[in-house]
Amino acid sequence: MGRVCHGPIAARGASAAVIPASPTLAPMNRIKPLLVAGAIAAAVISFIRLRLTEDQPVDPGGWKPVDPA
Amino acid sequence: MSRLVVAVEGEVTMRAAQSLVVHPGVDQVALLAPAKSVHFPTVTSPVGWDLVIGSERAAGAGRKHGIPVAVTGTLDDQPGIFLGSPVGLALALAVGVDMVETIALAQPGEASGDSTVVFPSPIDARTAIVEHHDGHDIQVARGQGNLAAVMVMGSDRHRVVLDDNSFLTGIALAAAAVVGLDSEPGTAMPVWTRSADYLQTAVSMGLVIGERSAAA
Repeated sequence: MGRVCHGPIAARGASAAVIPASPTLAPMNRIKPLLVAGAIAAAVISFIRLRLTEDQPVDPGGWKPVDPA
Repeated sequence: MSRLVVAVEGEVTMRAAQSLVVHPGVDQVALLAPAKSVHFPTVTSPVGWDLVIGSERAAGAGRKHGIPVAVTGTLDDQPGIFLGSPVGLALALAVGVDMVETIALAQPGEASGDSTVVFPSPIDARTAIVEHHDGHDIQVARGQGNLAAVMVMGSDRHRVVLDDNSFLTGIALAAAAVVGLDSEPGTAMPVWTRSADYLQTAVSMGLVIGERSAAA
C-alpha cells in the first residue's frame, strides 16, 4: 500500500504522487510474536521432558550370578 | 528310561521340547500329533510314555490317558507338576529368601497398572498390576520388547532372572518336566515345592540367576 503525498512535491505542480510503503517494518512486527511464542513453547517442552526423565527410577545394579544350590 | 511327550501349543512348548531333548536326564522326546517336526518323532497317543508336557492340551491328554503331566498352568485333581512358567520360577526363587517384600514379573505385553517396579536394565522401570497365583501376590509388569524377568526382593537379598521371553518361558516348563519325572506318583505339586532341584535344572538349561544384597 502506498500513500498520497500532499507536501512539497504536490506544491511544485506535480500530480498526487504515490510513495511505496516501507518493505521492512510490517513483516517484522508479525514475526516477533511468533518467535516469542515459539521460544516459550520450546522452554515448556524442555522442562516437561526433563521432569519426566528425572522421575524415572533406575536399578542400582550389583547383581552377581549365583548357583541355586 | 525317561520318555516325554510334548503337546506343542506354540513357541514356548516347542522350545521346551528343544531344551529337553538335549538334557542328560531325558532319553526320548516326542511330539503329540498333529504337531510335526523334522527333529522329533510324532506319536498319536501318550500311552506308554512317562510324562506329557505343555499347557491345556497336555493337561487334557494326561487326564484322558492317566499319565502325569508337567504344565504351565494349574492342575485340578490330576497328578503332575504345575506352574512350570515364569510365575512358578518367581515363586521358586522366593523360596529361601527371608521376608519376601516383592515378587515381580516382567513380560512382553500392554503396559498397565499404577505401581512401579524397577527391573535391571534394559527392562528398567515399569508400571505393574498385582495378580494372585496360588495364594501369592505377584506384580506383573508388561511392556514393549521380547525380554522377560522374574525378580524377588527380600529383607536380606534380591534375586533375578532376565532373558528372552520365549527362552525363559520354555526353560521354565522344561525344568518342571525334568523335576516331574522323579516326583512322587499320583500327586500334584507346584514347581517351588522342589525349588532347589527346579532352579538347578533351569540353570543347567541356560538360565542365569543373579543375586545381590538387599543393602545394595
